[in-house]
Order: sequence, then C-alpha cells, then structure tokens
Amino acid sequence: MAKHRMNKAGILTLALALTLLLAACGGQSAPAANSSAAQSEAAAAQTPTAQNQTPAQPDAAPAENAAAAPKHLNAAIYWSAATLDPAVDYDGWTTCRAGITETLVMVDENLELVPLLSDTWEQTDETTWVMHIRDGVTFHNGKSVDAAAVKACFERTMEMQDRAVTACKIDSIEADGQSLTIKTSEPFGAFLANLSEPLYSVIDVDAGTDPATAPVATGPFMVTGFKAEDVIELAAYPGYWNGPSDLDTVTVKTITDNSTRAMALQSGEIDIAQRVNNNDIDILRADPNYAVYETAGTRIQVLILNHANEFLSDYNVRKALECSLNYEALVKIMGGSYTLAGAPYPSSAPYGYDQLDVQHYDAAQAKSLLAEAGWADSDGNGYVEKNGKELSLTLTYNDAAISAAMEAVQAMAGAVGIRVNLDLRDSTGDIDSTRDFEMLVRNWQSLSTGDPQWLLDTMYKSGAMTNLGSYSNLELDKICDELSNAFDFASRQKLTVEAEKIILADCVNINLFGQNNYVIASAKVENVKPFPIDYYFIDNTTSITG
Amino acid sequence: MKKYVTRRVLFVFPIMLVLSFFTFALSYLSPSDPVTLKYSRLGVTPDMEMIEAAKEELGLNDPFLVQYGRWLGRVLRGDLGESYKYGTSVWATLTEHIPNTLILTAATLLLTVVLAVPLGILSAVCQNRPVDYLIRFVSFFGVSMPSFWVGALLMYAFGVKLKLLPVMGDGDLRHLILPAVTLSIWMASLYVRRVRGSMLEEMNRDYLTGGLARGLSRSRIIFTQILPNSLLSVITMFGMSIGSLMGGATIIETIFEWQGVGKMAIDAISVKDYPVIQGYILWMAIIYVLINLVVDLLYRFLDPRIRLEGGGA
Repeated sequence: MAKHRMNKAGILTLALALTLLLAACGGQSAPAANSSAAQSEAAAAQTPTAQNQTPAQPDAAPAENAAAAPKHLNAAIYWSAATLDPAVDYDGWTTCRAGITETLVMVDENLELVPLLSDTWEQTDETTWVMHIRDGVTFHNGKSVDAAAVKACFERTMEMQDRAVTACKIDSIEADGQSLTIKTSEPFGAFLANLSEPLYSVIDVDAGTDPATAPVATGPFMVTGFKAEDVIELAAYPGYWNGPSDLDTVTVKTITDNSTRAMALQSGEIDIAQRVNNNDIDILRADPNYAVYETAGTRIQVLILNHANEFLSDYNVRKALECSLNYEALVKIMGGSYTLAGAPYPSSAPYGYDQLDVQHYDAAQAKSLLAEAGWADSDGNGYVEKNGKELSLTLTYNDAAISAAMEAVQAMAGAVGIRVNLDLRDSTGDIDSTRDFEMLVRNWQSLSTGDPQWLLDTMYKSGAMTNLGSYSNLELDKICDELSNAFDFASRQKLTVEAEKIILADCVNINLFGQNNYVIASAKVENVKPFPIDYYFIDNTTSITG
Repeated sequence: MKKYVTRRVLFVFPIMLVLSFFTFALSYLSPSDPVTLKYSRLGVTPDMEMIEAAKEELGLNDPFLVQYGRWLGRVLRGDLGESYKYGTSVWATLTEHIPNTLILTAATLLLTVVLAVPLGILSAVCQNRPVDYLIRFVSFFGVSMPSFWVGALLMYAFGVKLKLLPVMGDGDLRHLILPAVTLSIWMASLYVRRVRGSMLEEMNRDYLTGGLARGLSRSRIIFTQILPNSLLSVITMFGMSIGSLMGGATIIETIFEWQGVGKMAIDAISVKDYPVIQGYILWMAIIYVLINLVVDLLYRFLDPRIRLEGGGA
C-alpha cells in the first residue's frame, strides 16, 4: 500500500513536471501576440492607458505630473466603418463621430442648423445658393480650405456616390475664392439641411493620401492609424480653426457588442461610448464614476407594412394591426431609454406632434375594423379568416435586442385575431432590393439632417428608393414637391404636419417606439454633448481630467 | 510509406476541387444579387438596365460552369476577388485576420494541453477517488457552460471588478488571456474526460499486468506505455479542435472584439459579402483537409499497427 501511495505521488510529480515542460515548450506563442498587434496599437502605446486613469487605480501620477502628461481619450462607437472615406457608403458618419471630418453646416443639440465650415450663406434665387467658406480654416496638412477645394471634394463625392447627387439635387458648383456657388437642378427647400449629411464632409482630395485610410480633413482630430472595423487612432490637430482640442490623442474603438461596450467602460478601457444596453445604463447611472447624458433622439423603430401584400393592402387590416398594439407596454418592455413614437417624427421635433392623431392602442376598435372588413374567427382557433384564408403575417427583424418587444407585438396582434409569425434574421439588407417581406422592422433616422423632407422623400414618396412597402399617395407626393419649393421654416413646418396627417390617416407604417440618444462617459470626461442626431459625438471641446 | 504519403497528398487535390465547386455553388445559389449588393455600397439603387449591363460586364449571365471555371482560374492565381464591403482584395482581408486567429489558436491549444493532459492522467490514475471525482465534476461544468457565458463572467470578474485584464481588443498578450482562457476552459474540460477515458482503456489491457509482473514500476509503465498509447486516440480529436479554432471562434472573437477570421466571417455574413465568405470557406476547407492529412500521416507514423495492416503500402 505504501508503495502504491509512493507511485501515486511520483505520478503526480511527473504530471506537474510535464505541465511545466509543456508550458515552457509553448512559451514561444505568447510574444507573437505582441508582435502582430504592434502596428495597430503603436500610437496607443505612446499614451497612458485608460486603466491608469480609472478611479480604481489610486497609484496614478501625482497632480503636478499629470498636468504635463499627454491627455488621451478612449472612445467607443457601435457602428463600424470599412473605410474612412466620407464618400463611401455611410462611412462619413464614422469620421464625423470621431471628429475627423466636418461639413459646411451642422445640426446642433437643439436640432437647429448652424454654420460650420461655411459661416454665412445666401440664396440668390430658387436654385442658387452662395456659401461663404469660413476664412482661416485649414486641412490637417496645413493647406487653406477655399471654395475650389470644397468644389473638388463635392465633385469627387458625387462621382463616387449617387446619394450625394440626389440628397441635395446639386446641378453645378462654381468656386471663386472663398465663395462657393451651388446650383440645384430644381428648387429644393431641404438643400441647406441636407448639406449637413456627413456624406458632404470636406476633405482635401489632392492631399496625396488614400482617403479610405488617411483622409486629410478639417476636424479637430487627424488620423494617425486605422484598422477597418476595429480602431481609429487620432491626434489633435493643432491648427484647428475653432480652437485645438485639449486632448493630445484619441483612440476610437469599434465595439459592436453592447454588453462588451458597457464592460469596457466599467473596466476603464473606454472613457466614453455611445449606446449600451438598457440594464447597463441603469447600472452606470447609479455609479458616481460615470455620467449618462441623454437627449431625445430622432431614431424611430418602424414596422414597415408591405402595401403590396394581399392582406396589408386592406386599410382595415393595417389599422386593426395599429390599434392592436399597446405602445406604452412596448416602451416599458424596451426599457428606460425608449419613448413613445406614434408618428413619423418624434414629439421632441418641432413638427406638430400635438396636432396629430397619433397611433394608439384600442383593441376594441381593432376587432371592429376586422369584423367590418369581413374577417371572423370561423374555426375557433383564435385567429380570424376570410374566404378560407387565415390572417397570418410574417414580421421580419434583425435586432435580437428587440425580440421581447416583437414577441409582445405577436401576442398583442394575436389577441385581436391576427397571427404574427416572427422571423429574426442576421441581416435584412437584401430586402432593400428583393422587397420580399410582409412586415419589416427598421430603425429609421427620422430627421437625419434635422429636416423632415429626407424621410418623406426617401421612405414615403411614391417610387422612392427606400419606400420598401410600395406605398403611394399622390396627395403626399404633391406635398413633397411643395416642400422642395418651401424655403422658410414656417411653411416647411406646415407642409410637414400635413404630410404626417396623410401618413397617419393612411396607416402607412406603424411607429413602434422612439429611442433617446445617450452618451455614457467616465466622470472624468468633460464637455460631453449628447446630440439628437447620433453622428455627432466627439468635438474639440471634449476633454478628460487627469 | 513513401508511396502512401504521396498517394495521400495527391488525394488532397481532388478533394480541394470538389470543395471549391461547392464553395462557388453556395454563393451562386444564394438569393442575393452581387450586382445589387455592389451598387448598394455606392448608395445606388440600380434599375434593370444597369443591373443587366453590370451582369454582362461581370460575366454573370454566362453558364454556371463557365463562371465556375473563370472563378477557379482566378483563385488558382491567388485572386480571390474584391470584398463588396471593404473594396479591398479578399486575400488582403484574410491575411489581415488570419494571424490573430493563429495566435488565439496557439494560446488556446497550449492552455488546453497544459490543463487537460496532467489532469486527465491524474483523474485516470486516481480513478474513483476524491481527486477523480473533483476533476470530473469541474470538467463536467466546464463542458456544460456555454463559452459566451464563461467569457462574459471572466470579463466581469477580471476586467470590470478586479481590473486586471482588458475586456476586449487584440493589442497585446494581456488582451489574449481572457479569450484564450475562455476557449480553453471548454476545450480542456472536454480533453480531460477524453484523456482519462483513453488512459483507463489502456490501463485495462494485459500489458500493464505483464509489465508489473516483470517488475516494472507502475509509473514507468504509465508514462512509457499507457500514456503514449492513450494519446493516439486523442490525436484525431485534437486535429478537429485545431481546425475549428483556426476557422475562428466566431462568438468568442466577436464578444472580445478579437479581429480574427471568425469575426471577419460574421461581419461578412451579416452584409452578405460573398467574396469574403467564399475566401473564408476556402480557408476552412484547406485547414481541415491539411489537418486531416497531417493526422493521418501522424497516425501512420506513430501507430505501427496501421503501418502493418496497410501492408507497408
């Protein structure tokens, strides 16, 4: 027995020795991680890491040293960019978020259009706009920004991206010193607002660098490193026209997973981030080390109804579906940062929300609408039928975070006799071309440039590019055309309210819920501005204390 | 042996040809239209005329076999096409992500071997004793817990609470620890049970009794006879594990923001970037075919019974 125990001890010792031996043999793989990552993280390595800055690291540098230490901000965005070229896809939204590029005008925290690279402008006739390019603005390479540089940039963008042609209906551009004259192909009231779309970011097209990886722009931060869909390394541009940033360097990290983004904030790897899950917001809000900045957003989760569908082409079915949904319950299910929608534009926007008969819950009306249209539950299975066909619709969506709300929609519609089948997909992008859907959930930026016309022109006008539900109403089309000719805010507002009334009366789509915008930052981050439009994030005033 | 190796290596080529055929066929049969996908990147909704012109230009109206032949020719020249999303070559996209996956694979396998082999041996040697029960209990938990959940727990514990390790990214060795540990907890738990099972199977063979009767020590028999024999059966499983890791641990790479081929594939699938998906499938196919080849050759080299059964072919 003693010998047996000795053997066991010997085997155990040998096993441990083997472990150590294997560990030693495999030790070469560890440094490989260092070398492979060295390129992308080189810039970050020059700066203090976020962990050194967190409250949990009391051994941070003394105050006198901290004042001299370079200031670095780690920011996280949720939307990755394949390139940094504003003319490609929606990549300009990322460069705008990161403070790399700027447009001629921008939409501020109050949804008002304010000057940016253009300080004044004048509409000389219905189709001509003369924009004065601000004096003293320079690109990151030190070259002055004049009208010719802006013209060259816009022409390149329009050549590369059809959206740039249609969004502002630009016909021709002329440059003379700091004066940029843009002629539109037709009167277009949304011209100025749409010029704030990051697609119209101004970059130096003659800089000799590849805008996809190193755009030379005008923002407070210039690119020092970029890995597609991963990280953007930035340094403050000392010649920034509106006063250089207090920060020295910034790392903008793409973190697509909401939970990971929240944990990166909590671990101190990230100082500031857009969007985390609702439950994480509550945790971070309760923690004095973090601040949650919230503002009414302009995004709305819309249930797009396919009017070409045999059931949804019937107004009564659409309206019954609309009335079957308890919107307050849906907002509660989604959690704290979600709000009631009920109309194409959020209640915070100045587009007559109070004057509208917004979408609301009325189960009794839903049932009576279905009965009026001849739908009845003849087989007693709880769902209504007509001409031998059950009222069954498939709801397609691609965001697992709204699954609970979608299940509630299924239950609510089921309660009035409409069978809803849920179809959660990885992506619904192909539907844009196939249009093969019955009901589709999309997260729409309702006021993408602070102006209402974009939404009407692209989502509701007959034959519009993203009018996926094939809705058509000539009266609404007429209003869209009138909006193009309306240049003062009061008349644009009046026309928008009229358009909203038509859309609601026709029950075109169902506005499920709105979404507030929020930025979550460490308590050390200063001058955080939550913008209603989420492509604004970091600017020259954003800073961090040591 | 030389003849067998040559035959086995040559057999790889028809397998790769068949795999390439299916890779192309899958993309060909997908419902999405490459022309529309390419245009959507440029913010253009093309009309039928534009779609037809682009299809003609890209040769998409040619018969399937003609398109396959053309694609295969390009692949053999190292041209995997251009990513719809990035606008860069698929080869560049793959080679940017593969090193990260290889690093994660190596670290995970190292940890797995370090944990699983000694614990598996210990568990087998101490069969039905408290140490064995403890190892089996822990490994049962390790196998049962979903890796994304283990990952989240580790992120919370070591990143959020203890602030010892970063929760995401692929910057340096510290970034590697959590994803590698997460993957190896599941894998090591699996291998502990496998090593234990194989060890016990070998320990029941007559040569252990024979060795003891000849006066050899138990530990010597275990380490010189039983362990090598029992690890033979683990080799196939290990090969498959290497393959799956080199194909990218999609969920773990995604939650830890580790820029490997798994995350690349998920990103490509979400936007239907078919050239990248094709490149990824080819990478997976090559990995599995090569690993199977290596495992087969290793088996033949390590196990004389296979050599003898094969008649020395």
